[in-house]
Amino acid sequence: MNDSLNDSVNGGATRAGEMDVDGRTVPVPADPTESLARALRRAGRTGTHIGCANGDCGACTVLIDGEAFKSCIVPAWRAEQRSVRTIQGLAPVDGDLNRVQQAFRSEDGFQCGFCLAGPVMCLQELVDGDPEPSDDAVRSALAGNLCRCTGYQQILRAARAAVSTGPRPTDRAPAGRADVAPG
Amino acid sequence: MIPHLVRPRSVEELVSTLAGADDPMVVAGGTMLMPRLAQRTCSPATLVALDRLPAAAEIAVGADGAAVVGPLATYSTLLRDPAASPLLARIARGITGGPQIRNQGTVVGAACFANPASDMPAGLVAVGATMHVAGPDGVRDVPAAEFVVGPFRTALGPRDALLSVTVPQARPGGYCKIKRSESSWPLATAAALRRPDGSVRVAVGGALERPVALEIPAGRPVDGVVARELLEAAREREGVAWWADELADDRYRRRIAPVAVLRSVSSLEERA
Repeated sequence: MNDSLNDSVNGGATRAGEMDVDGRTVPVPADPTESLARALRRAGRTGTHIGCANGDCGACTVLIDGEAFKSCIVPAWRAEQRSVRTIQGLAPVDGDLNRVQQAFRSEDGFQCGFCLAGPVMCLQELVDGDPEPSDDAVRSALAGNLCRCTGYQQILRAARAAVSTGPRPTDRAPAGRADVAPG
Repeated sequence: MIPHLVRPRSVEELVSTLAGADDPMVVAGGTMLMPRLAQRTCSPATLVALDRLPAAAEIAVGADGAAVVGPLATYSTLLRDPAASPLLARIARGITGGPQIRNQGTVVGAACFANPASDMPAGLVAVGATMHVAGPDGVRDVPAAEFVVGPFRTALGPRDALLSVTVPQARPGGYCKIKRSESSWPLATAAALRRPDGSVRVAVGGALERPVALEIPAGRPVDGVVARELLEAAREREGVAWWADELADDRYRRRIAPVAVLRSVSSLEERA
């Protein structure tokens, strides 16, 4: 699935015309109208879903240098020489889930799962900046996401669990370095 | 056709790019432009990005207290430094679309998009902002009240770009936004700012073809009837029609806009 990702881990540094995606180097597409979401999916990051392609639903949410964006309305060139973290980069494929992921799993925080990157990545941005956010901050962090299963109560329950459990060991992995095969 | 992307690193380069480019279109945060580019409902030959201009993403507060908002300064930038402009920060807090949009949407972009159902253009009128426009003849200043000229239309020419916005020294403001749901564009907004002499300027957004400002003399009590009279007088004087879209017709907006005015003034009193 990740064939189009560069084989080598880039150590965080990218050159002009490149971006860092979950610790690997991905070329910025030549077409300046191509969205970051599309570029990520072509690079195998298909956990980043495209729902509305209009900046409304949030299913394409990623972190760029730690800030949450709806990648369907971000031109891919805006991520040039920046670090993009997708939902697939939160924890190692074969390792433990991180704090937010585990809370969504434990609390059944999703139904069909299509919108999942939205609430999860927004909460990741929140807890990265403030490990013990207020309930208002949690609700505000989730406000830009639509769930067509209408699973909002479960999402909110999972979000509250995520902020109350505190950091897990996997949360200490540096941003963007996860999901990288050893060696 | 795939547009040619140019990301100027100086105002001089920006001006010469715009002057020489074939069919240029300027992009700031891109929240409104990107979907249209991807859908090919707009297809400029040249895309001119403001993100590499010096200090593009910053809000710089000068010795006189005035804040210069750069072309890539977002709603989140306003929220990180609310003292630079408390009223604009208050508007930023309520921007529809969640943290993702607050991280991407810019003050400059919202002003240039000039959506009647948007609140930032009216916020800039309320604070008496000055718009710095780069064009073929250099940089010129346009008062915020003269910047938006109609629905999705501004004072910008085809080879102009909005470089930055200067907001006069910060004062607390009152604000009210009426919308149907968290994910909705506003139906009516009112941003109120009290002057040192006690008079209040209220700029109404979201409800009219473009922002309209009304003045409340110092000491004049305001109720719903007065708010309606002052707003109608200002609207007729400026020849601006009520806005209608799929969210609400013009009659509904006409009824609720005075309510927004009244509530913005009340929230000003709460802060006093």
